Amino acid sequence: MRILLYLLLLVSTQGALARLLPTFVSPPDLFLLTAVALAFRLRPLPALLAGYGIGLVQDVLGQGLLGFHAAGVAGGVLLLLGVRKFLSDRGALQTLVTVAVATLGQWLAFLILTYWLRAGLVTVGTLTSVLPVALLTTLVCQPVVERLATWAFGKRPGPEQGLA
Amino acid sequence: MNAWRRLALVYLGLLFLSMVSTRFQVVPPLALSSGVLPVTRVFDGAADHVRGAYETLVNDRDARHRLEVLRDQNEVLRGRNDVLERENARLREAAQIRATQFPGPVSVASVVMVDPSPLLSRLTVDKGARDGVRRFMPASVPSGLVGQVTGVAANTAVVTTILDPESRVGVTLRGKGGRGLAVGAPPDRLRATFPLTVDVKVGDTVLTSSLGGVYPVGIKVGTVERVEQVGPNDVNRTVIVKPSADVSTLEEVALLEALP
Repeated sequence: MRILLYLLLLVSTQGALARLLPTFVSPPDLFLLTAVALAFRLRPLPALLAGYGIGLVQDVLGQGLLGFHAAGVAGGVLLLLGVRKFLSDRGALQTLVTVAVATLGQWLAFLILTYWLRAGLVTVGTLTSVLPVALLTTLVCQPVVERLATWAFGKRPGPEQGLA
Repeated sequence: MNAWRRLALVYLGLLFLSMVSTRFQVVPPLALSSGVLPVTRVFDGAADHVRGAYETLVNDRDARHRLEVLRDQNEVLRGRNDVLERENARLREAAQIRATQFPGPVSVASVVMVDPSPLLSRLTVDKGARDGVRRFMPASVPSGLVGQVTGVAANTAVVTTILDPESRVGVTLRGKGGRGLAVGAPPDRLRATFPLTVDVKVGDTVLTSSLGGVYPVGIKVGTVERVEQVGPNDVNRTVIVKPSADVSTLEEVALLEALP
């Protein structure tokens, strides 16, 4: 039930933020933050698949290219899972690196798909204007999403549990 | 093969799936997004209201600021308008004087001081030698003669009005002629004398004449208010003239070029 409520809140808040913020400010990617939160709570493979699934939900709700955001979010999760062992469990720096790595992985996947589709989905202008703002707003929202994720999915497993 | 590589392989599979679905532009079923539409609509509506309220607040603040700026500008423009209106009145006055009294150069000066003496009637104006004002320049207003400049400083000048007891104005009667002399009779009248041959009546208009060579001919001085009784030894007829220009309320006077 909590998970369902969380997802509803996620979908609604993402849309509301896009409307609330001025057009020149990219809204935070709450779907990516949700996938990041799950990456810290699930085993790697389920986390990757969950990330892909969340991205797929984003595509379905956005009525865009099906699989585009799915590959992006899953790319972010994959890169995050790769560096997760180098990150500490808590702290501002950990938050910063987590969001930055996930966003980097996501946009790398976007670039691959843009090249594959021969489309102008991601341009140099997008990379210089949208990406930094999106990263910043996503970073700002991360603590809130993490709290909500704790409410919905439970606490992050500690180091001992992770080792087990 | 370590775990991350396996994950990468899985991801490659997912990426391939995305490549295929994006290349073939698989359209997601509309029913899925329609299912959450009522909820998103509520949130979107709330967001629109919040944004609208914020924009209204900002616009209101900006409008208030603009109002302040416009009020300030309005004050400045009103002040400028007053100045221009005064300037316009001056120019009209000067034009009227040139048309009716004296065709030569005319400059308009403001009265800055009035002699407080009840016996004398003198005005100080804000133009002096630097502005080309010289002694004996006649001072006038459209309604009639005021007096003449009797003292000049660099930036001011003193006008002795026709009501001053030291003032002498050569006068004549409109339509009747005759030469007379008007002397100031404080506080607000002139005493004019005419030869007995001149038939002066109450209500006659008194104009400047060429007598004395100070004032241009034909400027209205006033109206005969009373004709004094002529005594057996009198050689002149004395009349009381009410000046046409109200010296006590003057704010500006036109200074005419002195006659050569």
